[in-house]
Amino acid sequence: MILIPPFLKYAGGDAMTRVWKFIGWILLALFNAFSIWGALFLFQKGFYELSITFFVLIVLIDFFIFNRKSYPFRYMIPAIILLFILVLYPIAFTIKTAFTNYGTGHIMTRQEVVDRLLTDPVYTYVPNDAKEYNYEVFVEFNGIEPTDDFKLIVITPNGDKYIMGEIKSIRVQAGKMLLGEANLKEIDDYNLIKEGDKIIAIVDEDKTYRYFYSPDDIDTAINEVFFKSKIGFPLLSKVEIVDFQGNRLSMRFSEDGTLRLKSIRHLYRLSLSEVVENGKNVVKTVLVNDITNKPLLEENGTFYDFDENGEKKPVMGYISYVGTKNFSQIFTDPTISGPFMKIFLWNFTYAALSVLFTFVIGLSFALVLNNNSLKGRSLYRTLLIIPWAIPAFISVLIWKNGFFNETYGIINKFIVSGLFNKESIQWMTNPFWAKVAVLIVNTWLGFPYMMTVSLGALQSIPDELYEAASIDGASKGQRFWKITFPLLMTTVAPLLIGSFAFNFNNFVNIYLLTSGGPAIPNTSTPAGATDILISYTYKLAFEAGRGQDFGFASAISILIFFIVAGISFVNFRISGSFEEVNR
Amino acid sequence: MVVKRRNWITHIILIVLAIVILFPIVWVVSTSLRRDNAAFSTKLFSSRLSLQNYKDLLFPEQNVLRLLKDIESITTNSLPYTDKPYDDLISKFNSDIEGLKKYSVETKSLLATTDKEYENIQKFITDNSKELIASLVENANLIKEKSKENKPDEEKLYVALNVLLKEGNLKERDIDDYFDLNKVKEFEKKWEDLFLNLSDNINKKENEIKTVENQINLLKKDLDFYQKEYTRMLNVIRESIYPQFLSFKDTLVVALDILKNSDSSVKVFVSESNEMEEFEKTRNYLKKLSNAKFTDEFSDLFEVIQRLNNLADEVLSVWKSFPDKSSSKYADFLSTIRLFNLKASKQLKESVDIINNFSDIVDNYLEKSNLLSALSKKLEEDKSEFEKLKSEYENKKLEINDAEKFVYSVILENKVKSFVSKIEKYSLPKDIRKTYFAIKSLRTSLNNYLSYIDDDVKRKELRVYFRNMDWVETYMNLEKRYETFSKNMKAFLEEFDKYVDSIEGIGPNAIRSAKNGIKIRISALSQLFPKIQSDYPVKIASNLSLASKLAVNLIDYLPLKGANPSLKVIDKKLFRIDQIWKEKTDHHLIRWILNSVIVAGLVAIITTLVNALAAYPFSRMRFRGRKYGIMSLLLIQMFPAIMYMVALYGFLSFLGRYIPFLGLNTLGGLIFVYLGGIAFNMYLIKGFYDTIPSSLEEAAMIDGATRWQTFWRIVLPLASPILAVVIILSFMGTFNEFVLARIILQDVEKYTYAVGLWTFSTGPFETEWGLFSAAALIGMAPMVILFLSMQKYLVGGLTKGSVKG
Repeated sequence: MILIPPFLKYAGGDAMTRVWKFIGWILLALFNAFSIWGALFLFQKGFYELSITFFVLIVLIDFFIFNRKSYPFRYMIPAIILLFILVLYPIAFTIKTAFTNYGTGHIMTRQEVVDRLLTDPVYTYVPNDAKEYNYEVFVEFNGIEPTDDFKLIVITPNGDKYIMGEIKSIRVQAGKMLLGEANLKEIDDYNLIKEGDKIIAIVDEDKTYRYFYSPDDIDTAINEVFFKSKIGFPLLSKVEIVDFQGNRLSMRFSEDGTLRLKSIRHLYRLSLSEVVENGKNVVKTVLVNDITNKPLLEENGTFYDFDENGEKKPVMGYISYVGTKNFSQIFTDPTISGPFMKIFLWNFTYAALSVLFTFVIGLSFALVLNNNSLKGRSLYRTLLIIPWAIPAFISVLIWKNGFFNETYGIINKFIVSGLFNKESIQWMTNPFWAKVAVLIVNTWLGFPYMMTVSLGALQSIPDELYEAASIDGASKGQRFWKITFPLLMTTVAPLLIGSFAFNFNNFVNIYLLTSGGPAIPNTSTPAGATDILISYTYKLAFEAGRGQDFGFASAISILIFFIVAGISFVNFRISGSFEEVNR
Repeated sequence: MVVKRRNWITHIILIVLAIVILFPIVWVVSTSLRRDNAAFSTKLFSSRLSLQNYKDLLFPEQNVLRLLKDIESITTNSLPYTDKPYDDLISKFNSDIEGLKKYSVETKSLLATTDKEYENIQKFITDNSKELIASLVENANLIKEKSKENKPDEEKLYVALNVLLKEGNLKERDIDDYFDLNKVKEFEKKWEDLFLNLSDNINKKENEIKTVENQINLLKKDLDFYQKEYTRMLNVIRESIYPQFLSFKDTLVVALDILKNSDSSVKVFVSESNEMEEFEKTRNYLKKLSNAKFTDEFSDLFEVIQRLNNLADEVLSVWKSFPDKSSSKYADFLSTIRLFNLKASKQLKESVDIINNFSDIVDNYLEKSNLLSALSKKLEEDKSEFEKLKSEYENKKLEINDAEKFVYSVILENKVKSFVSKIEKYSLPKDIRKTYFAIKSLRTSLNNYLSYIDDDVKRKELRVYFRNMDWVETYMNLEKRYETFSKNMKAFLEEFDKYVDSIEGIGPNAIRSAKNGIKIRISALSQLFPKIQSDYPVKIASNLSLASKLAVNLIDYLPLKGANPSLKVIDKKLFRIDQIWKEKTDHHLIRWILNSVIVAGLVAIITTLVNALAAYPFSRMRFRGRKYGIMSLLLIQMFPAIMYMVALYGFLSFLGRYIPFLGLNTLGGLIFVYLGGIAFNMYLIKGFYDTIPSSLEEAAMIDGATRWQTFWRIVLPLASPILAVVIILSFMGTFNEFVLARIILQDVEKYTYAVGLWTFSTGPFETEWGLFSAAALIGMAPMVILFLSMQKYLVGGLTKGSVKG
């Protein structure tokens, strides 16, 4: 029996619908096949979290489609796809990152770093007893022009000659070979053209390689530059030639500037060692320095080597779990906690003062404009709403560029020094004035919203209340504080809290106006006096000036999430938004 | 009526506040229309308006340099002309050459106009020479009137004159004509009584202070030297002498021990030696050392030396009294002493030298530092005395301050008189330079006089009168600048025409040759580039912009307004000439706006559709997880979205390798990331669905429609108003987004408007206010109009759903 999905079984009867359903069925199959392939592909490429997200998505979507009871969810499938990939996955990634040291210096996984240390030509050395091999280079010519197609004959110290075989790439990055390996082959396998004892050409298939360069042959010194720049340095120095005894040879510059073929050794090798971990003896693979024979130390996600004097030197870092260090350093590390507390306090002050100023100014305008006998109210309203209508980033840039610029800005030029004859205000370099500037701009941007909201709330207060009050002899102030304000607050309070939450994370204003500056001195992180948590996070994660620290940035963003969620929770309680959901 | 009056006040307050609040917008509009450089201007607004900024941003003119670059591309058959057929290239080339010629002709006609206007100005000046000079005379006379001072009594006056002469502020010939020099001589005695002693004393004290300061400086150098020596010696003693002495002490203790305690009866032959004599010599050094002076720092060293001394005494006494001089004990003792002598004698001798030397240094150091403190004290005293004398002198001078003021006012008065008599003979513009120098010499006298005026108002007034004569300098400079400009420009144009002719001649051949694969750079063309890029700004544009600025200034300064139209024409035409010839940067504003519209439009439509779908079950159906679905959606919104980029950045760069249009630095990738913001407006749509009566759907369902059909055919059309609002809201929200776009987009051509405008406010564009404000206004105006015209709908959505961001 063929499995028929439930939505087909219960579908209406006409043929057209059946066709459509069939098409839907095929599309679903295609979608599943494609998504599973994509998820596997992602897993293979190391995007584990994303791959899991994909799998969860596939299961969910199939469940929604096959399960009749989850019919309502079918409407949400597009939303859920976007939400999972673009929101939930990043959130999960952020939470994971918050417990790691991911950032500059810790970009790769441990496995990748070990791999790198074991193979990268950078981590090789020429031992003291290194044997030096002579070599001869043979190059194919294109007319009279030499090409970079070559053969290499290696001459052992005993005088035996071998030819280098094909180069196999071992490590490739961005299409460029980082490390290659080649074997030696018996010279007799090739068709050689000799002049006496001397080999003058090699014939391989239909190509002829002519003798071109050898480091000790003065006759070929003229070819040295070409060899070094086209073959030796770009290619051969990245190739390790393995001879029959297992020695590794590679081109290295010698003191006289020629490239010599020397036996090299890798600086690090893998070895097993017994380590005491949590009170138990555990056998672990460790990296060992080949010169000193000392194992590398692993600490805080970094490999450390010891030099001759026993001094610790960092070699390379990898992503490792650091537990709650990113959170605890906020309180324990004095170079972080000091500025962090400053930023934290200013963040609250900034949001609170923004709400206060915008609300006071907005409410004042609303009270004035709520007067029915005032002519042209709607014109004033429209004019005063303009700051809200302008895209915020444009206004902020205008304020920053035209008004708060310390040398050219018109506030300094025409008002401070022009009108009052005072010294220019340092809007961008003095912490206090930078904060004032940020607040001025934010108030300017935000008061029309408060005005509109208050105006709406004021208009919904019935006039009878005032009439009754004035009959009872209430003064104007009494009427405001006893009737208007309490009634206003019931509708406006949730919006005030919402505005607080919004301003708490109002990144664009801060970032575009002051970039969080001026910088707080004596800190290990890029903290500034007007930075709020979110702009601080941004700087930590994306401004590479002092190195990125994704781990710490993620930890702070989680903190921000809890703060904002807390505020919003209170807000929902006050406004009763959840009851509305339950309608 | 009371109410009316108060409304009136309310109106005034509201209007004033509205102006203050909307000032940034006023500023943007006015600045975007200015054609001078607003950032460096001293005026808030300017009357020199043009639409040039908008033209540059939206419809950039193919000016001379751009045409030349185009010609270069055509003749070398490079991009974007590589694939064009020969005939097209020729016609494009001809039209470009035509354009160049047109610019040359236009510049010539502009120059002819400005030359004519310039002549008009000169003629105007000639015609009105009398009036202009009269205005100068009037202002000079006003200065004279205003600077009249009361004559002080004779004694004070002549004493003051003496003071001024002696202080070197005035020369005798300066006052020869206005004051009686004999009388000045007469009062010299009086001056001597009052000031001579004091000023002599002051001079003396000043010299004294200088000498003492010199001495102190020398001393400080010495002290520095001794300080260094001291620390060096200290180190030597601490690091090497002290430990040596300790070891000497140990050796002696051992020697003594051998002699005293060990019990040996082995007889050995001990040859006579002079070791002990040597030892005694060494011992003498020790004695010397124990007499040396030591500072506190060396109490331990001193102790060791004392101990060594005692030990040596003891050794000597024991040795002298030792009975058995042939025992092996004795031999061992002697060899120890020999070793001691070997090690110690030389060392001790050196140590004595060093320690003696050291104590010398200490002595010197102490002596010099005592001297220094004494000198410093003296300097302080001298200085305070000097101050006292000085203030006494100043006080005395204060008494004759009025007299000095009077002297300068008399000088100024006479200077004005001679100035007036001089320039009345002049005729402008012939004698403009002479006039200028006459004014300049007047300035010195005026400044001398003004330094005695405390009254700000009066000072300002006098300055204003003087400034009224500034136009002379401005006009003189304008003459110089304009004439240089006009001459250079004409020469430049003549040369330019020749170059263009040469290019025109060779161009078609070059194009043909390039089409056949041999590209020639036309030499006339490659020579013309540096001419326009460097010769024009250096030789012409500098004079041009100055002339233009001076012409504008002259409009304000010139006392007669008749020349203003001509000056304005000159300013305007010069600006146009500059636009034709100067090198302009290319802007991508249109591209940016287009990018923004594409991104914001697609994002708005997609998210609204997805939202409209997802909101439906929340409004109409009851299912498990409904409440938590909405709650978690609300919760997710609170996570700081910037951090998503850490995860998405890697994902996008990976995606870009397989699906290029979704990678980093692509609009597709940006759209993809923006789609994550879907949760924002769902609540709004759900709220609207709730207001649609469900009876409509029920009726349809009874007629046999499926759930999907009722949604698609009934609910969605009914909800179209809110969908429109949501589309506009998310369009505006996406249009305004800056951060993610800045992280994802790297190429200038791919920027969205928000990122592009940001680049206009930083780096080299920071002071290009005209361009910045024009670009801001272009992006701002549609948004403001959209917002205001849909106010009623949008405001409801914004206040209900999310806060503006």
